[in-house]
Amino acid sequence: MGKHKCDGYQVPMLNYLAGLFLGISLAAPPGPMNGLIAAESLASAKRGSLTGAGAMTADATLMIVSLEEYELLGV
Amino acid sequence: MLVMAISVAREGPTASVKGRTPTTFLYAKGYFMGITNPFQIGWWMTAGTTFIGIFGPASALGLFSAISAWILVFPQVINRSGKYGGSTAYVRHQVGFGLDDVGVLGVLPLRGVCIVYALAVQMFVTFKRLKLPSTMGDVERSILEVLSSGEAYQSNIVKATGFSRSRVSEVMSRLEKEGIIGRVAEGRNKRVYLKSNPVSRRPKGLIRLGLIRSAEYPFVIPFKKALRDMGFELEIEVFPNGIDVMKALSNGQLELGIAPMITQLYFFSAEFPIQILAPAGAGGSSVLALPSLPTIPSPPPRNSPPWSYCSGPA
Repeated sequence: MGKHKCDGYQVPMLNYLAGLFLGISLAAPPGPMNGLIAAESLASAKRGSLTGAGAMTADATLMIVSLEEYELLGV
Repeated sequence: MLVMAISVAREGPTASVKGRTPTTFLYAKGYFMGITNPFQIGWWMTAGTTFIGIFGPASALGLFSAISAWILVFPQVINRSGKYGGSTAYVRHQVGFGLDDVGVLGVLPLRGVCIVYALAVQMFVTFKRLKLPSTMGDVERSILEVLSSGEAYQSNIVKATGFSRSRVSEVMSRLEKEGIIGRVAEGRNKRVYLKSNPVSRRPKGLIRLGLIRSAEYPFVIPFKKALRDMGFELEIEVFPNGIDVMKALSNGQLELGIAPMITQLYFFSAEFPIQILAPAGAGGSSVLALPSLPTIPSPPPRNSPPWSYCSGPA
């Protein structure tokens, strides 16, 4: 991420909070994934959490892939 | 999404939620559905990546903390209440995932907040993107970089730096006021030079000649000797192609340039401030067949058309 010009926005605690806020805004709104998690959760909370963990790993994969792509493009 | 649609279609409304997928496959199912979810892909390709680009790795950590918290708490809430929206989750699952689904959980207002927030982040990101490359310092640095290799026309500086005409003009006015650069009006264009490196500082009698790496100009060495006898020093610069020669010539980095006729005509007709003087290697390889070295052609009268000098071997 060294290529990004983000001097002045490097206060780790505030960035962490910004990430928390964004994460909730990403995870909480209703959508297909929450529908699936809810459906599994009716059987047991563990099933719901497992499905959610899979979706989160997908997020991590997508993050790495898109960041790599941006690095390649030199954005 | 596709998997979900197929499973709903196949199992029908009476299918039970329990035991649909073995527990061991749930993680894989969540992963597969997540990675093929167009919303998730789209979000990461745009907002997510730019967000992390601005706020750094700590924000990624925060983001995944929040998602972890959500996937631990949300299933508990659903499991205890046994409801997702006004009905059981599976029934709602078939109907679709409308906004009313989670209205009961009080997420609807949060969704509004999220949309406003996401828009604000996008606007902020766009603003930063637009703002970053065109601060005064950047424009100034680019202009000075272009000028460090010699004089240039203002219109060419605009093209070379990629900044807007008005911005370049604004910065140049300031630099001129501060005495860093000088500008000389030439028609509608302006010739710009560094005050610390003015034309007059060049060694007197230096002529810079640009040419293409080619064997077609055997007269250059005797030309250099002849000029030296006349008190001029000839500096030869080799370029990869004719267009670069003509660009350097019109930028004021050269006094003379030897380039293919077609390139010269192009630049000449595009009203670059150049004068076509004489053929330097007309006839191509036939020049090499001449028994004696060609002599330096004398400059033709200024007002004759350029194509009048294009006749065969000298």
